[in-house]
Amino acid sequence: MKPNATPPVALVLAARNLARAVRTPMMVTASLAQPVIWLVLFSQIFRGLAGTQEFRSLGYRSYLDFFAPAMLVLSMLVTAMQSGMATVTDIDTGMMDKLLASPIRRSAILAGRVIADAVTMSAQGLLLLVAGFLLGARFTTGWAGAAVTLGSAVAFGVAWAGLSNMIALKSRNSELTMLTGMFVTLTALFLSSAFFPRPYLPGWLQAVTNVNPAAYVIATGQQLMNTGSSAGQDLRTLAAIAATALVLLPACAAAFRAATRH
Amino acid sequence: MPHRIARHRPRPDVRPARGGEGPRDLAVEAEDLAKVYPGGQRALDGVSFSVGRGEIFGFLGPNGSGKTTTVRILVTLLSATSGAARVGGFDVSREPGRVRALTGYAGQFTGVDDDLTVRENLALSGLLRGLRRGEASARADELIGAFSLDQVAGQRARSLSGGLRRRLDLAQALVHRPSVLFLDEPTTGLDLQSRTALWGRLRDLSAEGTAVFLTTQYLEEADRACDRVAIIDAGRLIRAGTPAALKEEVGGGRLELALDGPADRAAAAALLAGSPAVIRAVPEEPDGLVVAYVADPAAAVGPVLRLLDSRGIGVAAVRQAQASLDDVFLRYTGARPRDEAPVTGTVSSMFAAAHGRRKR
Repeated sequence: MKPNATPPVALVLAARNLARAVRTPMMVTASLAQPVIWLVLFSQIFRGLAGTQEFRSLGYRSYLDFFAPAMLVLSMLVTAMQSGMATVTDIDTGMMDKLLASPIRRSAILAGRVIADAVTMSAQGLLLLVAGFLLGARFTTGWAGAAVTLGSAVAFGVAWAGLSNMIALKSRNSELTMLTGMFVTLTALFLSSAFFPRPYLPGWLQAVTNVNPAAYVIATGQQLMNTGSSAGQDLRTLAAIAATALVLLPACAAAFRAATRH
Repeated sequence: MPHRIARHRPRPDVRPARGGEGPRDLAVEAEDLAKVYPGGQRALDGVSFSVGRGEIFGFLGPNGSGKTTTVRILVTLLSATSGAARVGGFDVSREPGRVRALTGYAGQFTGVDDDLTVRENLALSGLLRGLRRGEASARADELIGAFSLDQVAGQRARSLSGGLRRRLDLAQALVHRPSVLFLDEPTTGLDLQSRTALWGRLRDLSAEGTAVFLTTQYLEEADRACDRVAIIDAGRLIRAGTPAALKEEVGGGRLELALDGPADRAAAAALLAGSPAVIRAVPEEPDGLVVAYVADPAAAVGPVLRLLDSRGIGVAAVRQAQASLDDVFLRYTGARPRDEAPVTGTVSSMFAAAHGRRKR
């Protein structure tokens, strides 16, 4: 950036949000190493499942290939939860007041958070893809499939961050934000094919996955890695991401306006 | 040691125009401000005052009296339920952007990012104020020099002592050379040396034309450093004026009388209150004294002693003292501002209270 340029406030705030995270080594470890550790553990724990005829007949080569795309989404959702907690911290430290008392657009504060989240999630996702590759996972659909899987996971994660920020702004309580976010996030993951292939799930659960946007994103990643792309599935996932974003992000913006209405 | 804050840009006429008492000369004007929080708590109840350009104005009151609520309304973080306020001539609710651009604010809970260094915090403040990247870093260096933060410029804010943090916070609030500076309890938690330095800086700013609005519970400091003060209690502005004028109102001096033996202090006070030399007389509980407020302690001591003697009330000791803002406070609120226990609320609850939905 040129020294005499006026950088957009959203980017300034995004850089500041990222600096906070990067300078806390435990945060970096937790947010980057944890998903990789989980990927390794899960793919070992459930490895036996891939030995069954039924599992293979679904087109999955190994549990790693099956689970890696779901792990990508899981890690985005965990990061999305932390986004709201960072917002609570900003409120607690008086940083939010400082931003609100500055002559900047309110939207830049949210945009700064969203951009920082997207960067963090992309870094996590790339690291996970590399780790998956090293462990032996391969995308049937190649680079394009990997890019779509990563892109859709990040987009969904950013939209999901609207939820934790909304809880954060309404409660101003980091424990509650954490607990509620954790509950909603894990529930969304269990109500999907993240851990077990869809045909293994009981009928009612299969029905629920039809209305769970996270399930679409996970299923698409799993398809792109294992069985190849299908235009219908891709479009449904795009719609699921868009619907999530259209509900949660405006709700978050509204919570922000309500919390900071002057 | 001067802490002058250099100004690049010449600022148009920061002093009040001679003879002109129009609103344009006022840095802050509040008219009948009231604030009712969502829970129904009435934090402000018809508060009016004004602050002139270059004036240091102290807002004095106990915890929970409405000081912070007032500041938050003036810096556009909170809307008044009724009434109006202008800062630099701009209405805080109609043109909050303009108000934000010309004010600097340091709240009770400092907006310092622990994970950024001192220099980065200052540069960030500059960027938030629309400075270019180069300007922001030059200004950061300038403030680091002016506020003697050189030793810690590269350290993360997390490692700063309370005093240094406050200094950084004040420096941040000045990054855009605001014409009106709002400070909420700027000296709370500071040691004597830091306080003295802070008041020195505020005087320099004031000399350059910056209006300073600050809240404090330390009356002695306010007496020495503020051009004018206002006393607020339970959401009402009780009195405003120069410290000297307020002290004169209660009688410029006080006679502290220690009575002999088991004398009835309340009766003695009632007796003294009837004397023409005495403006007001009260028994002071913690010290067991009777205090008579008088215009001139030296002249009043004779008549006071004679009057007590005539009723057979013996006086063991008399002390003459100048009235202080403490006396003014006591007179109008019945308590000293720091008699109350400190508030132990969290920032979140303050944020909740301050940003809660407006009552319709």
